[in-house]
Amino acid sequence: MRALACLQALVEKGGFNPEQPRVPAGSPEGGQWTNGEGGGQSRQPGIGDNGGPTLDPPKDPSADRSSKIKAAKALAKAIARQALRRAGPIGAVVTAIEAAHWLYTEWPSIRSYQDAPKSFSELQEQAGKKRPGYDDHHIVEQGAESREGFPRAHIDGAGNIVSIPRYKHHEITGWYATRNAEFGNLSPRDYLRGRGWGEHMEVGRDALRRFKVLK
Amino acid sequence: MTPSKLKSLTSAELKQLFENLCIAQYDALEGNEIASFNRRFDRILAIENELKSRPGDQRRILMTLFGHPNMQVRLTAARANLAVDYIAARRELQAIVDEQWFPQAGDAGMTLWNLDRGFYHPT
Repeated sequence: MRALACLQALVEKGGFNPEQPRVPAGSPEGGQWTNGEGGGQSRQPGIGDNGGPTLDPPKDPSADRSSKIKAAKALAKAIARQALRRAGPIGAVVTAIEAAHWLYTEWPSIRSYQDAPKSFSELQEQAGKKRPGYDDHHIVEQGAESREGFPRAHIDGAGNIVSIPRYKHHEITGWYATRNAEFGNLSPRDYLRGRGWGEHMEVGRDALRRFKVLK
Repeated sequence: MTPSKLKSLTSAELKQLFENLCIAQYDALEGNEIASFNRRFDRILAIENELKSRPGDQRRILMTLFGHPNMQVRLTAARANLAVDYIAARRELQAIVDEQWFPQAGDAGMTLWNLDRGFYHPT
């Protein structure tokens, strides 16, 4: 995918390495990038900060974090569409990246959005690794523990957690919360309330397929 | 908008309102504003019900929104027509899946799955 390689080169030119290790979750600096010597970087977080290496401030100070993520998601989708259509150079997209330095912090998520669907075992193998641009996704939602009384051990079991691209995670979570006619005008989450583990799992796995995360 | 107000609108006006609400839903999804999306769901449903109640089931007018540049408009119009023209609505849903513009492509895929497994019977 030439376009993506071009973007990757731009990001690397900017000194951003998405593979840099991060502080494990559970500490106040959890998720922040580290120098690999055990501590998170000590600095004041800026606008749009995700704990990554020091970056220039955004050109547009009025842009808040949610606006930036929205713009980054639009970019991720545009790249995916260009790749799908084999539409050649993505000059406008590259220009956007160059002009909007702050998007670098979203680069791992933009890149992971381009992943081809993977097998279930591939998604499972990466769970718990806290890779930049990816989230651990519970196929049967974590909230089902209290709602449906599923045991925590099942919710956190290896068969229920997969590592998926962050923006795909947002899309699937959003789908679970939005109402639609086929679930009796309820959201899938509300529809599943009180139903068994098997039905939760069936819907969850198919959502992964339909959102092109799972083969 | 109350049901009596909807009754006073022409089908073309209802279609315009439907389109505007779907675009607002698209924007809400892009901004992860789920409550905003869901608030518009009932308004869209009310429009569909009003069109359905008109002679000849006027939901058909929403088929003119197939191929709309906004993917949420396409998706909602296709779903609204599953009971009116199943073949055409299903074709539109499949086209949305093939476009791979998410989350609408995923949502359309879930609708097809729910139809195929006999879980969803549009009315």
